[in-house]
Amino acid sequence: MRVVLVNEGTYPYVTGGVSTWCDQLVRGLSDVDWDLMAIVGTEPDRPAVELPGNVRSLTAVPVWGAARPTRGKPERAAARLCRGMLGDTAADLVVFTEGLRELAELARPRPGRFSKTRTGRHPLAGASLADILLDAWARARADGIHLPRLTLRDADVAGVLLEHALRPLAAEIPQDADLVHANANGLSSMVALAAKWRTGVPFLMTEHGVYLRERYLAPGDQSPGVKTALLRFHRALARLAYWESDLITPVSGFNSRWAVRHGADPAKLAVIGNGVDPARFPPLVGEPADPVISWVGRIDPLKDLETLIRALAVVRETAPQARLHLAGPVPAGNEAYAAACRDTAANLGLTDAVTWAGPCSSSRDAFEVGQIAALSSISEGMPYTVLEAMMCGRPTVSTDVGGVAEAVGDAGLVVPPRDPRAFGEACVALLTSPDLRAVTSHRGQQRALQQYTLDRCLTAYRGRYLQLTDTRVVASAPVPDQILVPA
Amino acid sequence: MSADSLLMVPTQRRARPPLLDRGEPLRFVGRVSTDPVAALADRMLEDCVSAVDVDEVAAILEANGINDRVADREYGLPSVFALAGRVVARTIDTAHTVVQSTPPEDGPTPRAVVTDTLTRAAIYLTPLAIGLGAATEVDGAPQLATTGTLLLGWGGGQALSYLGYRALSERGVTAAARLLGAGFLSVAALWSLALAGNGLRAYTIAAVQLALFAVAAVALVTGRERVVLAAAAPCWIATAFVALGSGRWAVTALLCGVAALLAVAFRPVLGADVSGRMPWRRWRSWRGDIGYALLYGLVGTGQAALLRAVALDGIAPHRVPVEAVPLLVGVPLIELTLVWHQRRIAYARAVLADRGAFDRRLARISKGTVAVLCVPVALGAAIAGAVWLGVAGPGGQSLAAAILLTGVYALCLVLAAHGRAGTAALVVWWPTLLVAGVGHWAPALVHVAPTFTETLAVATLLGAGLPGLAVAALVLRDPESYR
Repeated sequence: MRVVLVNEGTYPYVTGGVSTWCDQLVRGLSDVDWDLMAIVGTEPDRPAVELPGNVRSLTAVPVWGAARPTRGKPERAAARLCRGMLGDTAADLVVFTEGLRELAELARPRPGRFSKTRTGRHPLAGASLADILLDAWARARADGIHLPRLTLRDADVAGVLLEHALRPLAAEIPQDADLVHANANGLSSMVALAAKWRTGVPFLMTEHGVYLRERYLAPGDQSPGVKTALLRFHRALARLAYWESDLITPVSGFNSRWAVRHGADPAKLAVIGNGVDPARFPPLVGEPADPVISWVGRIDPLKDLETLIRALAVVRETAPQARLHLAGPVPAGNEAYAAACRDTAANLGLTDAVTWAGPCSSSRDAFEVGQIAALSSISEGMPYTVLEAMMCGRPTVSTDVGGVAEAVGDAGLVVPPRDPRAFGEACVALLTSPDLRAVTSHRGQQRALQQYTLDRCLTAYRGRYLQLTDTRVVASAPVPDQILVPA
Repeated sequence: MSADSLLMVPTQRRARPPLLDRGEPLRFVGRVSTDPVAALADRMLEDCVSAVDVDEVAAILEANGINDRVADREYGLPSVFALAGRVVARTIDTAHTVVQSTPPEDGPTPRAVVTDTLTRAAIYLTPLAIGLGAATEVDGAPQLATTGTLLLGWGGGQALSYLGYRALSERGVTAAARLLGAGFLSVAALWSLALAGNGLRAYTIAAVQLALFAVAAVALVTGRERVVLAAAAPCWIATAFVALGSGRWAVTALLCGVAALLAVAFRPVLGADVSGRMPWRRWRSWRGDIGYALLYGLVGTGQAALLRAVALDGIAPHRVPVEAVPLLVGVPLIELTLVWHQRRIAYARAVLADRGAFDRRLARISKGTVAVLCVPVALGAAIAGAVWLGVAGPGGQSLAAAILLTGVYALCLVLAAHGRAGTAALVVWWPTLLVAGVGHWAPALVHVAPTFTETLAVATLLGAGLPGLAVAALVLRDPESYR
């Protein structure tokens, strides 16, 4: 079986989080031949992880690389895309789909004039997308759709961003692929959509966080016009991908709600939770004497470390010796956020109580340092941190976001996000009660072993792959002509 | 765990913990709603007003801990989406009318813009000013060391500056300074081979010229114009003394000043290089960048050649060429005009949503800018006309040529700034080639009349300036030029 795994901004050029999941899948399903497609900013130099032998190819799809304009005329398709994305109705989605399909056709990789190398084209490079967007905006407002003002500068900015967002349409999957597995909605799914339209290859989508929801939560400092244009594009793309995908495998039931709300057929949804290898996360023996709270992850605004640091202040009102151990890298672009977190700790007088341990080779090492494990995120799918802590036998305190409550069940403490008081009090409850820690950690370990092992996760995916590729064989068999019978 | 979008950098959304803090007791201040949805809507007013749709409000609610269970338990609604819909509806019902106000013009104040522009102009005019002031000291030096280095330094400076700006945007100040330093060192090394056998004086003259062009390039690219201009002050003073004929000590002071200026300008080379963490492969192709750099180099070389052919050729070696003074005054004024033009256009694009309205405003702004660009061309033509009519003396031709040269430089600046570097190269090169060609291949013509060279220069500059002005007017009027 040959599967194309499409990622955006993660595997194999970044480690941790979604990349961990991908690596487990690629190595775990050793009977699958993998072709990796990584949507990246600019073309990177080398993967961050060593790829196993069953990876046949790795293709980087730069969004910000040098432009390869299409030879066709994309203006009409672009006009449909822009008008369709701005509306709310099913008819609007159809118009958006027509536009995107035409652009995918314009972007289709073809042999060059002077070489046989097939090259995809960037369908809107060089097109006057700003003018097209302005026209579509005016028509949509005339049709009664509520939209903010779009200035010419907004249109320029939005046009540039949309042009780059559509570049993955130029990516070509291997001809003999049996299945495309998009590891998120959005740009990854756009590659899968284009492949499905071109060759009929089935398309499976896994959502870890909800892509569209995270776009809503990450508007940056865009003006209202630019923000609306981008979010409408992502919403239309997400709806189309939910509609066209053959199977959707969110990592939690929580994510399914967003998929269903945006048009996914519930019959196509199959929740497959993440899995952890028990051999890599054996139970920790004993615990440190000091009341230390461990946290593992990348330093990122979505992890809301400021709440965690404020919660430490609450904890120290009861347990003055309490400390916080933060293990994880600061990704490029998040330096300012890391500095803000350090400032928060300094302002609360907690500089010496917070350890910034940096990246760690195994989260188990970080959990070993603490009596409890914490997760304070404002957005999650099904975080490995919690599952690994449970597997190691460390009691957890987590925020009620995404699939966290589903994962933890009654085997850990779950509190509302962005509530330092609640988070701190939950930590205090565990740190001050060895019995509660013991009971919670035991429950967590049992729950992880029963429901979140790697083997169970891999078996579920293998089954779904076989189901989809079998369906494809049946679908490609000759179908008898339909006979129309007059009513 | 989340897939990071490559198009929008995640930032913490609504980092205002107390906003939705449900544990916060309400203080009775009069007639307030007891409906929890209404209270929530009141607290989320700002979010709701700026939200694109209901789903955005739902996402914000979820990020603040309100999921389906909380929506059901505390608000009596089946899901967070339903709650978001109610919150938005409530906000729309009670929202005050928002008056769309014109955003203030962003960016620096006009005073800062004028200061910055004049500083930049002073920086890139420094090599020219020092070269003109010390003209008497280079009398008799080999052409390769004087004219050759002028062409090389000006053109090379333009090309390397283009690459320097690219390096600055992608890899930071240190990398840009190092690229410029390495580029000018390479140019100097190759040029030293070309100058072999011309003696120490030729090497000194060439080295000073290249150093001044390098200083101008690195100061403009790294944005350290004020520091570098302050460091250039001793050079300006020494040059003034050289021009007044103060002798060897002034020349020595000038050389020392240039060495110090070079050290100050290239100080960023010693900074920490953070570019090692950035990918070497880029979003633009190197081939494209080098092509553009060569084009800009061609424009720069053409400007230098035109200066040499029109303003510096034929002047008496023992005096400062005052014919170049209009350049020193006119170019900063033209630069100010163009900066004003760009700011007006940028502001119009930021506030207007109607292309028709923008086109009308663009037409108005462009008319003003073209009127300013017409001034040197018209003034030069008027002086030349006065000379031809006998109203003014024959010496006026040189002045007319210098003023027209200022106009051609301004047109060059407009065309290059709007992505028409090829047209800019054409505008500066064809009069250069004509003037130089006539002098080289038809020297007999030069002796037809005492002021033939000046007359030819004026005629060719008018020939370049008038069509150049027409093209510049079209370019300035073209909305596509401002994307």
